[in-house]
This record gives sequence, C-alpha cells and structure tokens, in this order.
Amino acid sequence: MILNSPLFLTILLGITTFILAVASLLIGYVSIPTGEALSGLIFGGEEPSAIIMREIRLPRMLLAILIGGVLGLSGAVLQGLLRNPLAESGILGVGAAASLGAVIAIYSGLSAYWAFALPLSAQIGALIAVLILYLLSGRRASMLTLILAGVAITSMAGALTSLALNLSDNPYAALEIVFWMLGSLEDRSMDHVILAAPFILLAFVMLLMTAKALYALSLGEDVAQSLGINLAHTRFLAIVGTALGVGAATAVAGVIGFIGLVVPHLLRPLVGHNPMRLLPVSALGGACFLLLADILTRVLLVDRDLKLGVVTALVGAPFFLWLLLKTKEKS
Amino acid sequence: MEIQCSNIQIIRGHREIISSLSFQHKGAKLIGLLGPNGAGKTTLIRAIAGLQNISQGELTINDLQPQQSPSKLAHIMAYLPQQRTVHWALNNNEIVMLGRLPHQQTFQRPSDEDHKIVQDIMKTMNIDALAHRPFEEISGGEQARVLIARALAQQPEILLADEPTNGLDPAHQIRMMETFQQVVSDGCTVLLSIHDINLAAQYCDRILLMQEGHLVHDGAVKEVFTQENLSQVYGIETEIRHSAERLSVNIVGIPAMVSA
Repeated sequence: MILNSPLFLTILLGITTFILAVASLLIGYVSIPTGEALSGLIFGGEEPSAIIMREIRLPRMLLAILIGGVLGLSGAVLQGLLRNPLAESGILGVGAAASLGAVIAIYSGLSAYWAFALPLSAQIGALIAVLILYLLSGRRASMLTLILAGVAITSMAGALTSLALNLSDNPYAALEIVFWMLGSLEDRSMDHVILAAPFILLAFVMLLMTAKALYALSLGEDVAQSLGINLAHTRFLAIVGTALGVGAATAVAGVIGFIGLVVPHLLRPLVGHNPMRLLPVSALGGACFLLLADILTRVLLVDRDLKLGVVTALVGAPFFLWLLLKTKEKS
Repeated sequence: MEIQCSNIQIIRGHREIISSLSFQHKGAKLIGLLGPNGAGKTTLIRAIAGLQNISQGELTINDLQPQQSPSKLAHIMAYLPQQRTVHWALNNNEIVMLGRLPHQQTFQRPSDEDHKIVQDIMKTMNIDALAHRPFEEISGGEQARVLIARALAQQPEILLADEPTNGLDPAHQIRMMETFQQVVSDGCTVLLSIHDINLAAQYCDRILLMQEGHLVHDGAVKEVFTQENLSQVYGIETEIRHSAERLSVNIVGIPAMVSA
C-alpha cells in the first residue's frame, strides 16, 4: 500500500533526482576526484577543477533539472487539458515552433542586442503553436486531429527555420540548425541558467495551478465547469505556462523531444491515473530522465559527441509508436 | 433552495431552442422534465447548470445567476450529464472525491471530513466495495451509481440530472429513482429529464412537460399526465389508470402511424 502512495513516489523521485544530479556533477570528459570536485563546487577557486565544476557542470546540471522538469510537467498538463495521452510539446510541434522563434531572434540580430529576446521569441513561437493546436483540436480532439496538427506545425516551423537559414549570409547557419534540431546541454553557462530559469520557474507555478482543474476535466468540460472550475482560466494557465516553459527550454537547449510523452505515461499508473497527482511526479520524473539522458551522452560514444536530443528521441520515438499501437488496440 | 426562471429564451445558431419559458420552484421536491426528443430538455438543464448562455429573460438559483457565479453555485448545485464519460482510468473513490473539489482551495488536499463524506456516500449508494476498482471495469449500473455519488459528494441543495436512467435495466432504473427520492427526503431538490412516463408518474412530485422549446404543461402528475396532454405533446394514444396511490399510463398506439 505504501509503495503505491503518491507521497512515497514523490520522495523516491526526489531522491533519484538528487542522486542523478550529483552523478551529473561528477561524470564528465575530464575526470575529477570526488573530493576535489565537491570542494571546487562549494568553495570555488582558480584551479581548473573548480572552474569546470562551477562554470560547466553546475549550469549543465541545473539546466537538465529545470528543462527536464518543465518538459515532463507540460506534457502531463497538455495531456490532462486535451484528455489525450499522446499530447506532448515535441510531437505537437511546440518545440519546433519555439526553435523557429529562437532562430528568428538570432538571425534578425535581436538576440545580440538584448539577451532576453531569444527566450521571448522562442516563447512567442511556442505560444502560437499551442494556440493553433487548441483551436484546431477544439473541444473533442480526436487523436488523429491532434497528431496531424502537430505534423503540420512541425513541418511549417521546420520549413520557415530552413528558410531563415537559407536566406542568411552567415556561414555558420548550418551548424546552428543542427544545434536547434538536435538539442544539447553542452557548453551552457550560468548566463543560460539565468536566462531560462525565471521563465521556467514561472511556468512551473502556472502549470501546477491547473492541477485541480485537470482532475475535474476527467469527467469532461461540463462537469468540470459545474464543479466551479473556470475553464478559460485553466486554458490560459496551461497554454501560456507551456509556451513559457517550452519556449525558454528550447531557447537554451534546442529541441528535446518525447520527455513529456514518456515520463507522464510511465508514472500515470503509479498515481492511480489521477491527472492532478501526475503533475508533481512528472516534473521530478522529467528532471530524472533528462539528467540520465545527459549523463548517457557523456559516457556513450565519448569521442563522437552524442547529442542529448538524439538520446531522448531514440528512447522516445519507439515508445511513441508502441503507445500509438496500444491506443489503437484499445479503441 | 429556490429556482426562478422567467421568460427565458435560448437561441443557438438561428434556431430558437427555448422560447419564453417560465417556472418557479421552492423546496425539496423531485421534478420530472419530460417531452419528445428535441423539446429542449437538455438545453434547459444545461442553462440552469450555467453551461448554456441565455439570450433573454432571467434565471436565478437562490438569487445567483448561474453563469456569473459558478464557484458559489458549485457549493449548492450538482450537475449529472447524460454521458457517463470518465477520461482516465480513475478508481471509483477518486471519482466520488471529485465532488469535494468545490469545497477545497487550489492546493488544498482532501480533509478528513472530505474522506468521511465520500465514504458515507459510497456506503449509502452501495458502492463502497468498489471504491478501489477502476471505473472502466464496473457495470453500467454501478457506473451510474458512482457518478451520482460524485454529484452527491458536492452536498448540493439542487441536483440536475440529464436522463439519468438512460441505458439502465428496469431494476436499476427503479433503484435509481428510489435513490433520488431518498435524496429529496434529505432536503435536496432533484430536477431530472426522463423519457419513461410511468417511472416519472410513480416517483416525481412535479412534472414539467416541454414541447418544441415551450413549457406546455406544469403541475402534479395527475394534472399533467392526461390523455389530451400526452396526445398533444407526444402524438400518442394512451389509457390512463388511477389506482389508490399511483397513476399508470398505457401507450395504446400512435394514431398517425396507424392511419398511415
């Protein structure tokens, strides 16, 4: 019984996140003895080990937690709002639209003038995508409509991203597109954390505030409303929260897909399929997933520079197919 | 509890669904809403529940306008839609617990009192043994009871139910009407739409008979269920028998079809 309790699960995921966070700090291309690593991290200093810990590994670990957490949480919220287990920001094209926003900010030169232009532009891209999805899918979105809408948004955003790069004189354009499409946490600094953290934390608050409404939506929109839930308010929190979170995440790490699909799906049976209780555990689960995937990029194929987005997609895409088959069987 | 409905009109698209409909109700009674398909029963129930815009007229529940104060009304009014849809594989206890939502703050967990209320209601509805089973695995009759328990967990003063007996076998229909009677005797008004005239005749205290968006007859069972009224509204030929305690309606045929 206690193993089934959501509190136990939350604590377990919290401990796992902590362990993976420490592992993330200790595992890297340069091997640093544990004691030296920790003292470098805590006390700082001029030694290379302290600089690596504070300026390379710490921001990377923090970003993995923030981004993994917000991607897992937004997946759980979108699934609850649309009442569809296949809803996820990556599949639905929100990540691609955010990355288009980021690319526009870079190529228009806006981001060079004002650092926050990058996350803001990515968020506007994400916001437009979520709004289109919501309008397209309407009240009773069929699985097919939703996925097709995602395909359309992804293709459109992809084409516009390519166009931006196509028209750009910058010879590094090709490198940039690879960066946005693969997703990575390499070489991120504390500046990136400072850029993304406020938006992601705000997204966390907004998304968590939808918990009760999502629970009520289990019985449909009419009953939810009769239970006093303000649906317009809920949609606002879910859509803007997703746009802020996914936009900021994409702005600093590129497109990292499938976390919002895989994590809530694995955790749902463990919280009695309750969309309210799924939210906090999906955030923690997302953080664990991304920390683990990021550690894997450092230990697997070390000399080939494996990208984070590739790892999450390699896990996520087959999982998505399996989920589609299972949903098809059920219906 | 007081419902005031004066001259309401509801237009959807270019069609008038409800036309200048008025009725008042005070006190705990079982009210049956009847009428042919398309008469506007569901629309009226949804309007009272605050889920449907009213084009004209005034509708208040205890002086509150349904669409203006949804969270206040959730404390006194529960709504049971016709579809018994639950989107996730929730267990029955979690579904009934949803009824306590209006009584909790945004991040507040269910209190001991909430758990006690849910437990008691599930016991009364005879579904306490199903508490931890998934909703999708129980029978249709049991599902109907779980969803009523959810509405009752709101501790409403008025319960709106859209064709609650739909899809249930006769025994379950009778049990459901008895449950509603019990709810009424506990002080809650129940307004339900129903197609079965005999079931309505047996259990309802007041009948609202609708036709093409109008409330055409309103009153006690004996006043409303007459041969003339039923022929006018449904186009059916009936025999009506009165016994000491109840009235029963025997549907003889449909004249139009006979002549055709």
